[in-house]
Amino acid sequence: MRRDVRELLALLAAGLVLGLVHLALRPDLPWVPAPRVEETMCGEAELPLEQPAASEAPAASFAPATPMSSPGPEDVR
Amino acid sequence: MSQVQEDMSDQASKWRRGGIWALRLVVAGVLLAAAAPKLADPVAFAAKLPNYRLFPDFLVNVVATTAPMLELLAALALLSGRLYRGGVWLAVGLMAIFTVLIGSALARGIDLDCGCFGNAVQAEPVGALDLVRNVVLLGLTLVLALDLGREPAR
Repeated sequence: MRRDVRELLALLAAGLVLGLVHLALRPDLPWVPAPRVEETMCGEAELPLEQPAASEAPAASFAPATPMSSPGPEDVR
Repeated sequence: MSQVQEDMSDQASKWRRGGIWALRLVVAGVLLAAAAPKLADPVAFAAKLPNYRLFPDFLVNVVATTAPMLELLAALALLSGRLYRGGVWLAVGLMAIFTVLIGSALARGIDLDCGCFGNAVQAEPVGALDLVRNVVLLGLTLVLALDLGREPAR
């Protein structure tokens, strides 16, 4: 029984070492894979919600809004 | 023991050894057939592992390269007779783990390709037939393990 365990441990150790060497020799297989992108039902990658870009967002301001121009005399009928 | 009894005992022993050798060849053949495509294309196998929803991300690629290497070593041990006893127990362990993985996927209703033979076979959703196949293979390896107690290691 002790021999069985010894041989099993030897094979497990050899398999682990060879597996890790194999992994190290494969540049297309990183040690830690990138997180998987969940796919929608349509097969398109679901992008994380992002904050609107600063240029697109309206600038928050506490300044009084500029008054709308009053209609000129020609507009008034 | 009479001569007739001795002859019958020898005959039975020959048949048993022949049967065990056949079992070794079958189990080793299956393990080799499973290991070769996964070793050749570990990326494809690694892509299938997360579908089991059991492995943490950081273990996926380690398992994808280590598992087929263990299958290969178990097959070589069964065929060559070197580290035979360890090879039998390794085969039992691998078959038990594969059976549990497939059973777990079936129980949770996960529709996945088991990746058992890498990309060597057409991808099909795992089914009860895969579970039966693995249970049979587990049974064969257990027969080999039970035989270990009957005669000294070769």
